[in-house]
Amino acid sequence: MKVSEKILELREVTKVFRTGLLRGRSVLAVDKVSFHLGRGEILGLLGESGSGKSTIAKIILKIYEPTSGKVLYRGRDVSEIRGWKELKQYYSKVQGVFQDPFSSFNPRRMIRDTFYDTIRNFGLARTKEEADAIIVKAVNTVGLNYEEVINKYPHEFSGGQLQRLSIARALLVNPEVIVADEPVSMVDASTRIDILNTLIDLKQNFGISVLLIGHDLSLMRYASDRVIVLYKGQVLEEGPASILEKPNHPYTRMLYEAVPRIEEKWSEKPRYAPELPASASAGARGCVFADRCPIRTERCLAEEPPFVTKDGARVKCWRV
Amino acid sequence: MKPLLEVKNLRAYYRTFFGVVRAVDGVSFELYRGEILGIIGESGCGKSSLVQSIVMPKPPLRVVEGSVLLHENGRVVDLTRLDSRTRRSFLGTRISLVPQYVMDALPTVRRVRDVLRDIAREKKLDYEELKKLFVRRLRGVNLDESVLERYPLELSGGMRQRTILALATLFNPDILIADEPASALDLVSQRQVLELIRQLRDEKIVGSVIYITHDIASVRQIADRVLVMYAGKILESGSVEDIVNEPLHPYTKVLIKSVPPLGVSYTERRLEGLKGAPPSLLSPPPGCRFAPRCPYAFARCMKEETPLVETKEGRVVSCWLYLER
Amino acid sequence: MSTRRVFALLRKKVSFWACLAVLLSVLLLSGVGPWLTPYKPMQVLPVRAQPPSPEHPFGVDNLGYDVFSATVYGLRVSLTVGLIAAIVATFIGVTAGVLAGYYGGLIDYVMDGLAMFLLTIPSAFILIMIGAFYAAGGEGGVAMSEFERILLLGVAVGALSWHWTARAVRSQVAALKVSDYVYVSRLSGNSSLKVIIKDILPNIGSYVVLVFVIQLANALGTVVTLEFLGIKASEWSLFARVMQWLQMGALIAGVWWAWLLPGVVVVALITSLYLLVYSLEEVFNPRLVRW
Repeated sequence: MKVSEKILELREVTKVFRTGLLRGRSVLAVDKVSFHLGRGEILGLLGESGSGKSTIAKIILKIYEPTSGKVLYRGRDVSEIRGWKELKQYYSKVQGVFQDPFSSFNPRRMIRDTFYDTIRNFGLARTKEEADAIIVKAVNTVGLNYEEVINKYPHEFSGGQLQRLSIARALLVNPEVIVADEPVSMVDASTRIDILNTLIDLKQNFGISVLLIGHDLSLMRYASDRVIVLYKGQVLEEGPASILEKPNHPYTRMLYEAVPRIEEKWSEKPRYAPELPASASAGARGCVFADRCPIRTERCLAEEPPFVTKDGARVKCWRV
Repeated sequence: MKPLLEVKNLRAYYRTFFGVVRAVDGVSFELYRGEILGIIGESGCGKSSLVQSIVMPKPPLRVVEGSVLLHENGRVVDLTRLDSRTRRSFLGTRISLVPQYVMDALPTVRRVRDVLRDIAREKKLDYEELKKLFVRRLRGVNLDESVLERYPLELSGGMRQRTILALATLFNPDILIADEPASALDLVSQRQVLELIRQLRDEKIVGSVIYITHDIASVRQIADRVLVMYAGKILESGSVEDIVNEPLHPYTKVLIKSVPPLGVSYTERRLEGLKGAPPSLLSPPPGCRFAPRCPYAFARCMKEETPLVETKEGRVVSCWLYLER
Repeated sequence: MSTRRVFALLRKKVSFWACLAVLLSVLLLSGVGPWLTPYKPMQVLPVRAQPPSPEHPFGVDNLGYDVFSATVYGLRVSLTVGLIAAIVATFIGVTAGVLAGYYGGLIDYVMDGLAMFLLTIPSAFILIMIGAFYAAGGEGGVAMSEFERILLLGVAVGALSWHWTARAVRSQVAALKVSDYVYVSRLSGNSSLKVIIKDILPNIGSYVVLVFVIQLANALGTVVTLEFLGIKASEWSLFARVMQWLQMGALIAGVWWAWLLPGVVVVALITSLYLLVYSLEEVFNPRLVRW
């Protein structure tokens, strides 16, 4: 497997949220996460709710600042970006698409005004004709028709169409990276494949790197080159997309066994972990998955496991 | 075999400010004893409205035509002709509905045992007896008595849903209707809840189940027969194996194909989805509702309402393609 | 909520239309009234204590003033004060709320502190002090034209009551700030100022209208209180007048038209304003709507 250039890299990124003004409760959303996104690859970030995947997306897009750790774009530390001009430069290379198509557009503005904003702010065109030409290209790339979309308000479109328009908006600046945060979760099943295919086309035709975030195993397996499995803010397994049907980590295996498959009925009864008495897990510094792991040991509860390599995958587990 | 529930040409519309929304527009199907019937459809297809119109239509939803026949002990009751009080007495005992988002609809300031008390009061039963039955049911779903003392928010999503299922099946309803019971849960809880539904039927705690969802893969796992719904109409029905392995209707074909089997990558095989959007139910197009998006549509599809064609026993498809043959 | 939807819901509400009708009639009265009457409000007539008649629709009080003239002129003054107060309060409140809600941090902290301060000081007290400085015709008061007095009182009332608006707007803005389209707007290269102008402000527009109406109701309420206490911008401010008439009416029971008729106008105004706010709230807060 060729070593691809690292476009985006996260090193020990951690994010702690403090809630409650004076109460000072803290939530560890992202816990020392490290991974990289190579040039022209689709990296799937698989996690259920509470795994920290959306927080990671927002940190990369500089909507949140990490509590510690670094985000590197082409080797340069993103936290060194100062001022609006430098931030715009970053956004001309790294763009985002969010989960809810209906809240991704200002309901009071026409779609085309949002597009013109981007073009104007990034100085992509000098005349209206040039601007329209860029919009036409972006809209066609996502499989829509310019005339159909140009004079409408967001509420006149379906979820699938809006999501495509979100991608088109991200494409206007000709980015190198698109961070897609659960792009198909709120879209009808029959449209999901199409939108994923659009992202795949972007990689294959334009060499754009995609960070694809989601929770559906089958779809992630279909659309990703490599996959990272997240649980409670930590990376538990990383490897080629095939780890989703050939899991190494007990958590990935648990997901694999629980997924309803269209091609066959659930056969084996999954193994569930016996309930832990509260005292055992209180203050435990061990594996973050230990309290639900069907093959846990004492060591798992006490010590945080290291990453081991198995079958081309990195697995954070004592029992592999 | 005589069906347990027979829905005949049911039409239920919403009166809204913008006009009349034909949410359920001529739906007919049967539910047999002891089966799990899955109704699959995407957002806006009318499946939740269908369920509501069968069980308890509330304004602005109104049943304008058709009948819902419940067969029991040799008698036939048309649910659409009942007044709401008689209908309410059916709820919970003969037919039990677990609506979508019910997890969030549980009152947050009452403990589970208070909800149980309410049920006891409404059905005029002894609370202690009911409690014993409930605890037994809880054990069956891997929960214990302590759940009674909890507030809904103290339970995890999966535990809440299992508690609700235990509550909803206390009186051994003939029909359990579950509308997206698992969609808001994590994967592991999803499987537990779905297997629980199957278990409830297997152990004859409920008679039959109508399981409504947009997730075809989950229907594959627990349903015996499937109805495919689109824009207020049923497009196809049949056994789950037939529908999944040999879909007939073009829409069903796309729907099945849009769920990649686990293990398939885009590098080996590109899957195809469906463009466009479902029609507005305010002014649906004449003829077949799917025609505007159908790759096989021809002239007749755009003009005339599709017929119901039975290709073999129990297998019905509503499409002009199959009449031509 | 789209404007179309808002109007659609409002159209059906009888209470809304009733209030609007009353409100508009009162406004009309204040606008057109002065032209309808040949008498000046301070003009002392040769007659006394006359009940309503064709030439004196509200009658004449026992001091010789035409009640109708006094009413419509007074309405003008008091309404103007209230309107100015509402505009000032809304303007300051919205600006403070938008800045605090969008930027958060220190700005939010400072605004919160100021608002808290305003809440706790007895603003009536301050207004009385202000009033003492220019009480119409009072000795030791600063000499000012009536227009200046109206303006000053309006601005003073407004400047002391913007905290409610600021907090309400602040929470709306803070909620909007984390909508996806605001993030997308940033990703599209919009600076904070552009985001505020293009994305935040248009989406709180209808809320600002609601807030303005509430502020107007509050301002008029404050003006009523002040005038009852004797602080008025002009000698013929309506509510103060009504107060006087009430006092006089208590002594000379027969002259009911002097306090009842203008009193009805006052009550109609305030009631319709508050009911309007109530029906608007139902529309803007979907949770209050009973399906």
